[in-house]
Amino acid sequence: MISFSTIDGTPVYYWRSNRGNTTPRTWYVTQAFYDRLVLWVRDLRSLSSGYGSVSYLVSAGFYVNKAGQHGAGTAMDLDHVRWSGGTTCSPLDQAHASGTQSIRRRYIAVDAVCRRRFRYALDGWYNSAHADHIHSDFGDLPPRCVKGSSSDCKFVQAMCNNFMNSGLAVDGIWGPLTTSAFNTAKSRLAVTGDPHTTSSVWMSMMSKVAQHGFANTAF
Amino acid sequence: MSSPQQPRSRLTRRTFVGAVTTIGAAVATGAVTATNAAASTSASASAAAKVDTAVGVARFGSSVYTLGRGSQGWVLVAANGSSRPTTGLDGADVLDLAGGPGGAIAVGAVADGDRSIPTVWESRDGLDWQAMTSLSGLDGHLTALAVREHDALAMGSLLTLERAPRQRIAVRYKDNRWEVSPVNGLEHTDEWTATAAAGDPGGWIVSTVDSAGSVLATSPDGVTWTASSGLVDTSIRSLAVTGAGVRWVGNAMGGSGALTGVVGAGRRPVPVAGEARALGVIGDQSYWLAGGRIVSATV
Repeated sequence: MISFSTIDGTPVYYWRSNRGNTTPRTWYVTQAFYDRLVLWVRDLRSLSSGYGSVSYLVSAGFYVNKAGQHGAGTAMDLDHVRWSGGTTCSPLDQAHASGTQSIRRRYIAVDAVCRRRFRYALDGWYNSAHADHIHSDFGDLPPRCVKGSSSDCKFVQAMCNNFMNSGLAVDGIWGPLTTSAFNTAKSRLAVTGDPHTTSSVWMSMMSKVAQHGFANTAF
Repeated sequence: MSSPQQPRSRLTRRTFVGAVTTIGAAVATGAVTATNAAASTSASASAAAKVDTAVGVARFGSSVYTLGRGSQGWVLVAANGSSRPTTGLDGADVLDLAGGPGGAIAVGAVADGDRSIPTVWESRDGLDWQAMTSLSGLDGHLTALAVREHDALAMGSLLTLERAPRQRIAVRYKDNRWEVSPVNGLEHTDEWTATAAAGDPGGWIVSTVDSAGSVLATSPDGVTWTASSGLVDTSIRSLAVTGAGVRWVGNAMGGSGALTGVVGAGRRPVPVAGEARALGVIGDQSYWLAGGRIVSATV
């Protein structure tokens, strides 16, 4: 594994024991995962440039001494993003459940950026263990939308509700209502191709969702 | 929940002395030069094979071993760094190791397509392993193992498609057989990973890790659990019941630093390399994987 304190120059802090702390931390991941994080943060910068530059990130952990992707040094738990213009996105504060639509949309935008580069992005809708961070890991790449995945399905349902007022139950079950809303989203976002089977199509769709999320505009 | 396949056990009091003798001989005749690893914070033997990962520690006689995985599969690694190849662990994702009364016990899972089968292995000598219980109807893994004189308890999780924990499971060794054991009172940990367990005649303790740190629970019988204390920014990887309390070793979550402490009595850093990963603690010695090699430190 390699150590790092910044991702492509953007500092990554730890707040779980001291909120607001900007003391540099040394994190560990595999080289391949770090390389993917660089692509991810460049996507984030590009898609959210209206907020200014990304000042810093806050994480709950990368390598963590436990079983699974964290133990392999191939996972990230994202707590918070801060931009130079002062805007923030705070999964740590359960932004997915905010009463303010713009905050929820910004959360979905960051979530979508994660889904561009990571197949498994587990968010606040996925389960209670992820209510306060967005987990991204190296499992089952390449990125795509799998109907049988509770993570993907709940994200799609939340996305359709927050950008199209679809009124879907966020239950992780991909039924006809979710299919209909998803097809409407694809049409409105001018997505061509199959996001379920073609990674580039899903990644493109996630870029468009992120752009709407950061701009706080419906589709 | 289905029953485990053909519970068996090779762990008996009768085989314990033989296991110690065998494993000691295996290391003594190994090709790798051994050095004394008892000194605090000492890097282990220079000629030893490097491993990518290692799990758990187990004492046999006067020596301590871990299971490591390198380019040639799972190997038994002595605290002095000497290593020997194992058999019977092909395709295994071993996640914890402990010494048992008849040898050693390992827990983890075996890959089965996109799923994984929670599995317990036993070995008399640490080299030749045999799967004793496979929960073939389940998709999950066993991640923490505690052994007492006459019984053992392995904790784990059923997993989601995304490989996240979704339900606590336990397997108990008692009366010469492994069997699925009920778990009550740990429902709040269903979505967290169990990382360490220990037991003594008075009961059991288990540590689970959520996004913020470790959460401990205790049980008098291994079935009914009560939440106890927690440790922010700490992933506890091993627990040991000592005269001074329950000793733990682990790593910080915000940066991975090496940490130790006694449950309920704070924490302190361990003087090992920053990237050292906690493997286990036996008595006052802790064991770490640093730079692919085993390192020990007094705690």
